[in-house]
Amino acid sequence: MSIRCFVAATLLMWAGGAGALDLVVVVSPASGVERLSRDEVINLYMGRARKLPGGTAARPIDLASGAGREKALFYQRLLSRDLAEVKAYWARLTFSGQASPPVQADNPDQVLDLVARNPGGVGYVDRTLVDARVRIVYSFGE
Amino acid sequence: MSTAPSSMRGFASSIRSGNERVIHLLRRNLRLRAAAIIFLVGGLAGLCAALVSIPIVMSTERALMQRQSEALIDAVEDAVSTACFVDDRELAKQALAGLVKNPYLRGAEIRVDGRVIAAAGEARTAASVLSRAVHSPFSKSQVVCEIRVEPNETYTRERVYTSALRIAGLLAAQTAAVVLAALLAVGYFVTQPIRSISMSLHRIEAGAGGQIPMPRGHDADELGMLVRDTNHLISGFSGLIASERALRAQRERDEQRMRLIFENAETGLFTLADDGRLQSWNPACVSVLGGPLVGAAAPTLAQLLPSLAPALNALQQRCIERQRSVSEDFALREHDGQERWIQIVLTPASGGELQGLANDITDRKRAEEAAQELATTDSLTGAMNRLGLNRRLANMVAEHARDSARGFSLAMIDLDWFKQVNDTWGHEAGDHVLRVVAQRLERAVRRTDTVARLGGDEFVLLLDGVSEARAALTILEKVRDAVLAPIPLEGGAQARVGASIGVAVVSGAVHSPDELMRRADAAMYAGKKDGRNNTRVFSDTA
Repeated sequence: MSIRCFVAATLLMWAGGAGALDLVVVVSPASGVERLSRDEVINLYMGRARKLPGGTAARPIDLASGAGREKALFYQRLLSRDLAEVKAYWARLTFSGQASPPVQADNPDQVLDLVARNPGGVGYVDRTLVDARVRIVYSFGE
Repeated sequence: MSTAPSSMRGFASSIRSGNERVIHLLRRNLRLRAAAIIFLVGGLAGLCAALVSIPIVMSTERALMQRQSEALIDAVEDAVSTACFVDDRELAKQALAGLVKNPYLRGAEIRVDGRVIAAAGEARTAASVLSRAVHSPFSKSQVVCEIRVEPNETYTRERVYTSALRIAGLLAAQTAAVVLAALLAVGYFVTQPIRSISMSLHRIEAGAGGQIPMPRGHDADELGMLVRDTNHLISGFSGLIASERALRAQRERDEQRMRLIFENAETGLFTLADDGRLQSWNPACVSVLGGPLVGAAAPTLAQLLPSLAPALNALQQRCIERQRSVSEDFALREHDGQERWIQIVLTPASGGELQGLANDITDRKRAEEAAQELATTDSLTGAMNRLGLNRRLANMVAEHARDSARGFSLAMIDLDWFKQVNDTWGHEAGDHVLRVVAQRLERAVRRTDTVARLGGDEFVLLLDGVSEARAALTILEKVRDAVLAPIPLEGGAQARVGASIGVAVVSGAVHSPDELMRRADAAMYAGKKDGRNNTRVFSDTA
């Protein structure tokens, strides 16, 4: 675990050093959702909420593990957990077969695509990548 | 059916007799009694300890159960948190299933907003439910559900009872061990030494003494003290008994000796009861007092000696009144006419009784009389001597003083020509003449009159009852004639002596013996002056 922590810290430093990421959560404008609270984001991504506040079935989109540093940063900022812990969480739930982890996209562009095409889609990308197809509903700030 | 009550009675009575047997055994056996007491007290204490332990163990068990439950909830909390977070009922159920496998928990459930979403174990009751709010895995402030578990009271109670039983069992075992130890200790240290002491005591015979051997190893303890004290007591009693025995033997010997003395004494020994009857007497009494004979009823002294009855009664009276020893001599006339003297001494004893001594003093009296006679008799003539005369004269004067009617005459006789007889034929012839004259004087007067020789050729006659001069002269003339008769001597010679007689007649007035002698003497010399061989009566005028 300490090694994992070390890796995460190294990644953060590297990310900071390569230029700070400003992660934001985006949804499709068709969802009718204007803003999401931090808890709502957690509920959506950790399997508690199956629907968006507007009533649309939610489709949270994650990044694949090797897709970049956004994923680790996202969970770190959202839950203060590293990826291994998040993986273990899902492993417990998938064992009972009742809940499943979010769909994984290969890169942030694919995330934006999926969100833009699905009214229930939810994703997280760097603020600089956001375009008119999606709407920012939650921001982590600096 | 009719046998049922009787068999019940029999059962009850057999229980009762069983109890009696047990009580009898306990009474007889110190060891069993000690064991029974220990058993009773130990058993009660054990029972109390077991009973008291139940609530203590119960609370301990409850606390344990509480901790166990908390720990169990801790173990499943993460899983339940996740399950509740995503509303995964299957996962929740699995977590609870693992929970209720533990025997401490009877049932468990998970509630979300009061609604049960998963349950496991047996039907739940409302009582003593342990609940905990479960937080979201990602936010400590967000409660996602509630775990409620119901502890297994039955299991706890079973554990408590098992524990209490175990305690009771241990205490019972300990009590049994203590009872065993007490049996051994009491037997070895108390009962056995006491039994040996008791056997030793049984062997000791009264009076013979003896000692209880000290039980080994007990010389410093209470039993040793008991043995020492008892031995001390035994030796004390033995000494007492021995000295008592010696005293008794001594007393028996003394009594034997006294009895021998009593039986064999020459003196009659007797006691008189307060009514005057003889109580006891020795054989000598029979010979001295003439009775009482064996088997005869106890007589009084007066009945025994009727002739002395008044004097004996008076003696007894005197002894009782004066409360000191009195004695008196009594003359007894035997059947054969012999005179016998007895002396009786009476001493007051306690309770109005009298102790008496009776001695036959006849021999002594005779000896006394003989001595008396010897003392008052003139050895030459056998007539009374001066001493005898003085006594007799004193008696007669005293008698006359009491009764003046009893007069008497005193005649003084002096032999005439006696000196010539002595000078002519010698002293032997003189003595013969004196003896013959004395005989003739005795013959001339009555038996009741007295003939005395004062010494030399002087004689005195006391004529009892002769109180007239004429009567006296008549008698004295006869006397003078008797003296005048010739006296044959050895060798054919004949001596002649005359008598000058002076008389003092005692009739009315009382005179002393000396005065009477002086008067008779004066009359006699007056006659001698007128010519010898003459009789003169003293008269105041002469």
